[in-house]
Amino acid sequence: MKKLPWHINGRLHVTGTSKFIGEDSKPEGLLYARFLLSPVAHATIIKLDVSKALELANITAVLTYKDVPGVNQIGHVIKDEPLFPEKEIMYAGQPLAMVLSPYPLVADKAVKLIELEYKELHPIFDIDEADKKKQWYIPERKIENGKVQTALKTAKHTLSGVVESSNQEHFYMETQRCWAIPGEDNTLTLYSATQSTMEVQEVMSHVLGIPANQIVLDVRRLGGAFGGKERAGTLWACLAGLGAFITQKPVEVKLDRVEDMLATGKRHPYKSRYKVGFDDKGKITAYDIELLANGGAYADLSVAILERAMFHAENAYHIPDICIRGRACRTNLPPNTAFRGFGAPQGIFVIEKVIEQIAYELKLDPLEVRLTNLYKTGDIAPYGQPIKETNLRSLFSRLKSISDYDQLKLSVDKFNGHHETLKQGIGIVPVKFGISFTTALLNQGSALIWIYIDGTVSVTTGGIEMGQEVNSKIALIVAKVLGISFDNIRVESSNSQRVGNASPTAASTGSDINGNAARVAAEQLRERLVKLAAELLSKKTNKRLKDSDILMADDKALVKTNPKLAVSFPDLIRTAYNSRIALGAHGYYATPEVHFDREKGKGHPFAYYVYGAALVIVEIDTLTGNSRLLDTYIVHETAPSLHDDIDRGQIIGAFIQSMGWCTMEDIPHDDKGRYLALSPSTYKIPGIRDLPEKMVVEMVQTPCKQASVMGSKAVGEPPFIYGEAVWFALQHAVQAVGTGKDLAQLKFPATPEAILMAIEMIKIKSK
Amino acid sequence: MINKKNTITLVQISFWLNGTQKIMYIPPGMTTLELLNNKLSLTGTKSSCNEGDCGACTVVIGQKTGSEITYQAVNSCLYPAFRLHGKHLITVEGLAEKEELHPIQTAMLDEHSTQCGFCTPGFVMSMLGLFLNNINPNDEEILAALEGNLCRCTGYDSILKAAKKVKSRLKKGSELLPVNLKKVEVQFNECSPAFIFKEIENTEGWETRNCFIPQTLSELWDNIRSCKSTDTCKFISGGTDLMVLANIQHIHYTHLIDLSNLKELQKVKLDKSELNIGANVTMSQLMENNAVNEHFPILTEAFKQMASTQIRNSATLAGNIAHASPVADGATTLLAFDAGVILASSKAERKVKLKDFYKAYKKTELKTDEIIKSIAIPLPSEHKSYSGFIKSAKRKAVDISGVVSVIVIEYQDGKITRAVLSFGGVAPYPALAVKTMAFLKGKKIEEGWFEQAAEVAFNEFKPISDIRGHQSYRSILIKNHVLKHLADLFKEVHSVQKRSK
Repeated sequence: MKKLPWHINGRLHVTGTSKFIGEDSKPEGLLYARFLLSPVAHATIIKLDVSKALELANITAVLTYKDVPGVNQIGHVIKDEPLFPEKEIMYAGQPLAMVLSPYPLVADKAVKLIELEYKELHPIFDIDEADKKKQWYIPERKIENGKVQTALKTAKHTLSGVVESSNQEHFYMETQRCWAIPGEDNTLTLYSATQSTMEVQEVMSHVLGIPANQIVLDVRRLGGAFGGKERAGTLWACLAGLGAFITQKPVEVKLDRVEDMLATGKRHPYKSRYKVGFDDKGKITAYDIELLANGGAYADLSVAILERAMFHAENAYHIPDICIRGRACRTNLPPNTAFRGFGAPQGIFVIEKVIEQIAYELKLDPLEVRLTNLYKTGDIAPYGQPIKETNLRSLFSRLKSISDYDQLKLSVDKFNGHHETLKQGIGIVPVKFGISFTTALLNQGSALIWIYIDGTVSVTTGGIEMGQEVNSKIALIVAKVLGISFDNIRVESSNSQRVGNASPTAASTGSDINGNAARVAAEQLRERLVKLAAELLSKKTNKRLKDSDILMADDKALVKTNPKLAVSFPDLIRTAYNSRIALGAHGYYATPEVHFDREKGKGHPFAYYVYGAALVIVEIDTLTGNSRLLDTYIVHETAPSLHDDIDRGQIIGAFIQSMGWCTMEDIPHDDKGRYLALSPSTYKIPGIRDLPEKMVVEMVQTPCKQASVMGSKAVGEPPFIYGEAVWFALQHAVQAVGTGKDLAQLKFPATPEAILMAIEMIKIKSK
Repeated sequence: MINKKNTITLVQISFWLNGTQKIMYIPPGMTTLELLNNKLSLTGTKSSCNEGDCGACTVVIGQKTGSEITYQAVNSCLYPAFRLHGKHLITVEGLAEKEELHPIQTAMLDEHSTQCGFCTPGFVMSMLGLFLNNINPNDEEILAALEGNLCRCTGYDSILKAAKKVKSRLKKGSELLPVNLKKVEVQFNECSPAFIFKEIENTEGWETRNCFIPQTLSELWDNIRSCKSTDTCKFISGGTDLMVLANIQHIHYTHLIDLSNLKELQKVKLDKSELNIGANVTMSQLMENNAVNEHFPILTEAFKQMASTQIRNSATLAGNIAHASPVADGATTLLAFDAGVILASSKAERKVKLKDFYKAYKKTELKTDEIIKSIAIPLPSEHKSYSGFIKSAKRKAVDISGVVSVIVIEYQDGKITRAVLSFGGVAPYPALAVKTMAFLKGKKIEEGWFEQAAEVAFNEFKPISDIRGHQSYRSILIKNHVLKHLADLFKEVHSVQKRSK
């Protein structure tokens, strides 16, 4: 097997020499920002007096909304979010004022001297209350196919219910941060922890009232993001930028973990009500679903996230008559935001729970009910997009065979029969995940490539490197197109001067869009180089070589029919330069065929789908509610992968992250709207002991017609769905405690407490 | 040392950093992480949680204790910088020798164990701490070494594979430290040179303005006496709780009195009637202690489930007691073994049983001028005995208990002759289940009354609801812990009987 390249910056990471934001040599005169964060969720500001803070020695400035030179507005699509609130505090943790000092500890003291008086207003935290009060950012959205009400009436069986899923903290290891450095002529450079250079640049320019071309964004890498820096980084970047612009000194904004967890938005909690109709085999004939999102204080990305939840409401199942409605509700929590899956996990959780309910009612194997309902090639999704190719059925048979499913079921039953205080359960979840930004215009990207005189290459794209290794993939693509070594390619920081108007690196599209843009740029260069090589090598032979006779490979250009006839890449480049051939190229890529009409709820929002399925076995201790993840099987379609290790890392990473969401990550708030788990001592993300005892990950690499860059498929978000299988496995284990008469009422997330309480309920009912 | 309000007393420390000697003045409140990031411009050691829960800031400390040279991974965010004096601080930047990567680093690259890279240095250093102490660790030992490091990207699978690959590549006698780091070992001096202090203006705004680092108890009493009523003085030993309070809750003291150099507090002594554990002995040291493992294996079991390797390498059992957390696993365990603490002040020493030590939530017998000198645990009697430790927490490792319980049973002829049951997380401080203990005494070890015993325990405590669990959950756990303990006891007694037949 060919050895795969290491992580493109892996050498730097393992030696501790990679630089994250704020880790370069400190600029002269750097000021540290500290914030007064609101102690309450909803209030009118009566007094905000910073004069005492300003009197303290070594305080450079204390800034509030009054100091915003441009527009006090950082909302992007929906303009509802101020940089600093002027009158109305909307969430606990909202920054109200910023202190700047060369000494961070002194800035901390000054924050305490700011006088704040406020009158508390009634806060809304609950989705239902917000919904009842019509606190929506936009009116209800709807996707509909067929006649769901009629179909529900004629269905053999019907069920209805409410399904809830809870929030999740991103817990990127690197907290929110930004360095803002003022330059000549009112320019400003922001080194921001953002997934979206374009958005920060645009919003910053409005806040400061200066044109976009005076603001430079530069992002080398992020220490994890998972959606938490797609929009949530904008606030902190703009605060740093404001500070630097006003003081004309470099400013560092760097949240500590507690501030980050208190003040930034999370994955949206959802509450959904459904009615479902089905036949004796469990075939769903009608599904009426209403998805309600707890969006937090400002719109942020809540509407787009709701849209993706709606697009995934039927997951991998074809449902002829379906009506999907969604409302994103404004509450007084920090603005909830993008998080890996972007609403899809929440939408999918509902339908998967419905499937389990149906299987329970009909006493069928939940796996069989899933098979009965799976999409087939040729089906049409509720929003009108045809399913052009799907291998869901073969993925399922593979999953059944690698897990030895029939035998496994027997052994779990046997185990449960023999054990009083230990119970096992099996959970299965498939995924069909749509790839593309559902906001079609975002599906575009650019790349800039320079080949330098020694034959080394510099690539810039709009892609933000945040651990998903978009940069490694881009280097692989460019290396392949130009036929040169991976090691001769540098992928640079994402910089707005080199690549402007970059879409966020999000929606799993980072490699597709930026990789394709880099491919386009590299292909232009290859075309020029091949032409030159054909000329050069023609001189060495008595034959007139055509461009198509030349192959770029192994760091040279060679004649396909006579590989010994070759010119090395560095020689070719020097000759190209001497011959005045351009050695730089800009590549542009726009994903074809994506569109969606929001009014009609119809269109073709996705370039393609990613499919897969997971099966897990868990064991619970019925006396403590503690659980163990035994075996995990994942069959995931990557199509021909650009790099197996990277994709495997994404699949397993997403699964474990999702398992955390489903089983242990719990962040309640108090009656003032302050989150209560504000550090890893109380907010538990999975640790190394939470790995399953056995994990089999099978990547299906069969070429697909519907795929993206160099035949590969996106991998960031789809495997997040697999973690839900753990929740369903736990529900089955709890179910095994009682007589089986009542369906286990397990809460989300399935913490030991939730499991134990569900067991207690079953025990009480069985008595 | 005079301390005006606007001044701060810096401590001069002399230490090795990745093989190079450094001598510098540092503020007494500074952590090793801050020293690295802010003063030494070494940013490979990452700050992510600043409370010892994520491991991103893991470094390895080399030192000479007695005649032994030890290397241990610790959380640099909880390690006061002044404590580096006379030690070797090894960070991720020190491992590669020019272009040649360390075997741990190569394995991490081969297994693709790094994604965003932010947690990576911490994992590298935890692995270094592991392999420096154990070249051939088993799976459990690998997990124990890495449980204190969080990663949000990889899902750990690739990291675990890297650790196993390192193990497979290392041979007996493999040198884990680069030559230039190894070479300074010969310079390690058991007795650190005396501390030098310097008073400067407190421009940076430090809250902790002074520290005392006594080398003997008599120096300590002098230091305590020199604290004025305007000072807030606090003893610090392991520091793994105190530093969290400083970093996260911003609870600071003007003066720190560091106990970690007191040799009188560093011994574990076993005599005929009791095991005496010096207050400075770390949890890691206790886990390796033969006397502890022989007489109190449950204590080791409890330590395994407490915190992480990095924290156990600094934390002390005395600190676990003094911090007076209601859910202290260590204190709860000691309570079940009827342990006492030896409290010392300049005037006197006294012994207080742990069951009398706690007065109210975070209130103890300790007077302000008193320290815990040691912990005394009476040796188990000759009777047949059984002990069990159960911890209920949200996560399997590095989590604080919702409810923790420890049972110690002595029995004769199938009858319970003595029963002690302690709980953490159900009362304002670790508490004995007195009524349940009375109920258990004299009972024949056979099924039939277990539910009743559980019910007694259930009614004995009224736990509160908080972030680690609601009242109803905790109450059920109290009951179920008793059931589990008794089921285990039953199993042990009857299998013992079977074996003896």
